[in-house]
Amino acid sequence: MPTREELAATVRTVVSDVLGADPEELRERTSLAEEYGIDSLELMEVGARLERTLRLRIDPDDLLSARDLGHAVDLLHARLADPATAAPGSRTADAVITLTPPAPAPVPTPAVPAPGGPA
Amino acid sequence: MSAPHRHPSGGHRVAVTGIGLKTPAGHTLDQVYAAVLAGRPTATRVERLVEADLPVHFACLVPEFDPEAYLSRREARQIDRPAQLLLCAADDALADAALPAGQPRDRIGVQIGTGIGGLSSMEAATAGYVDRPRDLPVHTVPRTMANSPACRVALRHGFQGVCTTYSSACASGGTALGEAARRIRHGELDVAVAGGVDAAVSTVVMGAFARMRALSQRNGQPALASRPFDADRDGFVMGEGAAVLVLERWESARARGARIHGEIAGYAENCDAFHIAAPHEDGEVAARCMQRAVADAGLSLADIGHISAHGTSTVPGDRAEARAVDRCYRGQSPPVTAVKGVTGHLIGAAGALAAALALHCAARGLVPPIANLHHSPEADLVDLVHGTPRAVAPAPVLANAFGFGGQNACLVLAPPT
Repeated sequence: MPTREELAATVRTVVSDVLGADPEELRERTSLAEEYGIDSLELMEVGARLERTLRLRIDPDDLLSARDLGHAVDLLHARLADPATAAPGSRTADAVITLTPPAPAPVPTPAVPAPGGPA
Repeated sequence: MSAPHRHPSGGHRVAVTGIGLKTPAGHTLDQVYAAVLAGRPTATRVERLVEADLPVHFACLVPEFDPEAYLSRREARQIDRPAQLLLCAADDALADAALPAGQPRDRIGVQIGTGIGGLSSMEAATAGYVDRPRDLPVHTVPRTMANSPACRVALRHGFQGVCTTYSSACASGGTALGEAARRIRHGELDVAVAGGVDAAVSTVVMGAFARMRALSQRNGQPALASRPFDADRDGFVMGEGAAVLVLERWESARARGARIHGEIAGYAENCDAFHIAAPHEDGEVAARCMQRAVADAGLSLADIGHISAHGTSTVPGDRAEARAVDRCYRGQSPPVTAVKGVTGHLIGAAGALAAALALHCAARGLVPPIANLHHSPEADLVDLVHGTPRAVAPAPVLANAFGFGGQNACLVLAPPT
């Protein structure tokens, strides 16, 4: 189980790789929607890469609903700590589950209030 | 004589006001023109082809350049090489055209030809993920779909006019320019960003062309491999690249004082309907296509100052084309050049690259020599330029682009008047 700090570093690395941003640019309060205009495909790619890295089923709603990067890390950290809090149907280690696309996920602007679904 | 702003068809004349190139012979029109005039071949050994155990060890690749000068890293991650080359060439073409601000975006369209499209990107996806399809990158479809390069150009610049991707194999670039010109001629678009792209120097695509014995296997002397119309040719040399032209109404270009490279004056297209890959050896259908393109421009065959042949350096292709030209000219062929001796065969970009060069050459009155041409069995049919450039009076050029499937696309390009 990674510490929150380790998890944050992993998330920053994955997000920076997908968005072509420098990892240092990405801070706890960075809003991927507002500052980077992240689109639904990019968000799904982030989710897919995190699933592989963390061996955790990730609910796309967690990523969609996070108001900033720090919030997303918090949500993921909670899932890792207690799979019981995970979204229905989610499993941890060795899970082989595709990240199903959410209903058309418009880029939320402004940041979607947590923890609702897509705006 | 028709009004100066009207095409003989009654429609708008079509000016070329921007040219952008990303090719094995250079990244600017001046570089490519210099290489072609000098007859300097660009084919080189490619180690990854050797390592892949392909029978062909060489190709014509676009020299490295810094895509970050054009694309954000984020964009660059989402697109494949054809889209990257096309976006960069389109940026150069648009910078060259310097369209006025405020041009209505829904009157600007993108018209692009590609023969192979995203197949080599799908090849990479297949190689990496066939055993674990659930891990496929989310962007696989938008990265590999054939219309991705054209739509990326539209998306990047907000061009909301008609965006079409044409696929007529090695004629695709000619098709796209011709269709784009028609859309302007008939008033559907004010401006078209038009051209072609392909980047398919990959194991499966190269291997597949090699299995047809379409590619030269002169592995010991790559620079001598592409030799259109030469007796010692043994196939074409695969190239990659993008060529983009900005087309607009002649009168608008004139009115805004744009630098005009020339005009797309005529276009015709037809199909041999003979064989899925080989051209009809008598060249009759291709000859008709050339005649129709010249007639479309309101010209006669005698008005053509030189011909930019498709000339791929395959025996059946070159021979059929020489016969087609001879059917038109009956022993009175104008000077004929073929740029693929220098550039290799850019597949979907080939017709657009040849058109851009033809305009430049026509305006300067110089016909480039065919690289590596020493002795030709077709020399009795056509006037092949070899050795050094040939000086001619500035005059319209007939540019041929032919493709597998029997596709024939002929353009008439006129220097600025």
